[in-house]
Amino acid sequence: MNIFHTLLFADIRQAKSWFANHLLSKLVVIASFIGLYVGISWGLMRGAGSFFSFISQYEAFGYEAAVYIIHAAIVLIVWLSFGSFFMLFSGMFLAPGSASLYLNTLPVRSGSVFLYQMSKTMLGNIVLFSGIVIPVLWQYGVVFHAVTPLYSFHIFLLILSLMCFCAAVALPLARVVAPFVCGKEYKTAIMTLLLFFSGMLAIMKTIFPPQMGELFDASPAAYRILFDSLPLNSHVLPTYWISRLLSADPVPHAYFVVSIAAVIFLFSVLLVKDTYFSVLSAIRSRGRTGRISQATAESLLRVSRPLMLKDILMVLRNPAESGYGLFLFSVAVFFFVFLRIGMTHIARYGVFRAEIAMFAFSWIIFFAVAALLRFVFPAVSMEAVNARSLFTQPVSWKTLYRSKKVYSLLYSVILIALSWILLAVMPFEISNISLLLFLSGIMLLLLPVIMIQIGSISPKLDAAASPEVLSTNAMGMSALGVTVAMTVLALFVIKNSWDSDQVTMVRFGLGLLLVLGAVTACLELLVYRSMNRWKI
Amino acid sequence: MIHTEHLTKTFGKFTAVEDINLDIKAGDIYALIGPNGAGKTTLVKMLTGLLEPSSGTASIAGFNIRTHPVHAKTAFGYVPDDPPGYEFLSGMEFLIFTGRLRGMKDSSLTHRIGELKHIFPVADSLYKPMGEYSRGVKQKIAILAALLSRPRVLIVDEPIVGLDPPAINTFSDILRHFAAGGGSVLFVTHILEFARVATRVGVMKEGKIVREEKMTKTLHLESLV
Repeated sequence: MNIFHTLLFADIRQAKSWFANHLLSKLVVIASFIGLYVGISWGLMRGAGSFFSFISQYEAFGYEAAVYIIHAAIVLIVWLSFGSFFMLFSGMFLAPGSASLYLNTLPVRSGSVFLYQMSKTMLGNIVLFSGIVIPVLWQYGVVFHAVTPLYSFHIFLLILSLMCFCAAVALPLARVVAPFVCGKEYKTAIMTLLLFFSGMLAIMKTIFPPQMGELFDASPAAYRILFDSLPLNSHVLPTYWISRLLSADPVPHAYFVVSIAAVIFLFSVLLVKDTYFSVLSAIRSRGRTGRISQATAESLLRVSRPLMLKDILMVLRNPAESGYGLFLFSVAVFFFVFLRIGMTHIARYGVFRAEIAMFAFSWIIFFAVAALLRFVFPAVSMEAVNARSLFTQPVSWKTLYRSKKVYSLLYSVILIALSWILLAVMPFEISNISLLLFLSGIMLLLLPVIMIQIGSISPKLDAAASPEVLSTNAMGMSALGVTVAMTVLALFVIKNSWDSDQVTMVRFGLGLLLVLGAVTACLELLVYRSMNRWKI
Repeated sequence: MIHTEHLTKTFGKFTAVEDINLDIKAGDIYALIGPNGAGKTTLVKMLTGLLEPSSGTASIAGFNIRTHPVHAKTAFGYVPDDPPGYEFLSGMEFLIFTGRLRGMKDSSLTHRIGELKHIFPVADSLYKPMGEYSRGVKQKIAILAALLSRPRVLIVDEPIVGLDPPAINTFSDILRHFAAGGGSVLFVTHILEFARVATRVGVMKEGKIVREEKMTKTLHLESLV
């Protein structure tokens, strides 16, 4: 336990020193994240409350539907948290950080360090998923039976056992897989994402099987048979029994499954904990033998923008960067596929279409901004990592800045192409689709340039090695602020010109273009004025 | 070729480099030695444009590093004390990248890389990501990158850290050959034995050059530091 305390103390010290500089902007960032977390939980609570109240009108059928939905939510949470645990545990082995590698050289027991790292991972996931699970389960309890201390304890027990169960499976899997994927992170990331989303689709198919449609028209007798035969109502699923923890009278089987989850978890931890350091050493001993093809180098020879091409290669070849890009892309596609499916039902009623369009548009901007803040905004500052090599070359600041702008335009092209594909499949009127394409085109053309501009007004060249410092400084906050303002403006345009005549749409669209163009021009002036003050 | 006048750098109240007057001519190999914290690297950073001087001037091949940085930087090649960290570029790509930044054309760049890659035995590593290189290989690539565009001046900070003995000998020969061809070399080192490659030696202490000597076989470097 002594090692555990020492590591905890060191982390607290580090956290304190993180707040030593730029306290205000960091507090703003943290408050924003907490606000987002609370907001999502609150939204879920309201939504779940309304939904459960609505279906409770149907008495026994409503209750059955609610139980089914709770079970479905638990299955989804299991898959999501399994994915999350697998990624996090794999990261513990593949990218342990300098602190763990240093501890590996000290006479410290592998198990103690492992338990500490694992506890942090577990705690993080429990907090994350509690924000999703608790509001829904709470409302379920409020609507269908009283929320007693025992029910609250059962919610806690359910979350804990789900996390234990997922961690128990993900941990040994990550332990076995990690040594084999070392040096092949790029391919593995693609494979993992494909598997993850295939699993997700399979789960959705299980939750909403084709026979579900027949339930609405079935006679009471046929309904019973059909409902009981739904795949999710199978009694072999452990989640079926875990979900029974939430019924008014939990069955003993539920406690049995919870105990099994705890035992598997303990067994899994005992199996892996003492091998942590040896796995780290084994992975490092394998060495990396990757070669870069000569053709790539030759193509580099032929292009005339070495700075831009270098930036592209540094993103494409960095598993962390490309993995993040791929992750955002997959989530965006996944989100739109589901939205499209949902829309086919909502479209029948012809309501909330403008609101859904605004929602879809906001999500596109959200994914774009998440990518741009990571890849484009810090592009100038990040050059300082290799300052001694780069800034001693005969390259002026203007050349560097121009190369970054061209680099940002590359993101514009990619993001516009992707967003147009995603928006084009939405079931809106052609005139409204045109409006969305036009607005997303303007936004995604100018957003990357604006990101580069704001990142170049006062680049933190002395903090190039710390991306979190770059994104939480005043300029990072400004970039976020400008993006939010731009998005609000675009949403205003959508709201006011939805289903309008084409002249109104063009008028609003051009107005937005004018405003954003003026913002870009002002920022350009600011960048050129500030360039002389850039300090390495 | 390298000329400074009253070059000074202060950080707040602390004076890191004070009133440096250097004149390194074509054919000179100038070694800057001194204890840790003497201000050697700060001086090099000012000469290469990485730091702005608080006062005084520095010029390379006649170009003031502050007023004509691009011309001055074209004239010198620099080997930093921490090798470049483009971990996802191969050594070959890094050389091409550097050559392109230095304005070299495709044909001359390909030819020059062909010439240089035989200086050190790095051919096997050239197509591996630099993140997999040992410090020594990175240092060799950095040296090749500095020589790529045939600069007139070579500025080197702690050149032999990480190099194996054969590479150190090779590098000594490179410096001698470079100076014999009319180039100027300024290098910073704390390894006194290596400083013997130089034709002149300057000793830096507490931000000042306290002594300058012509290198002779009998010069006792330990007593200077």
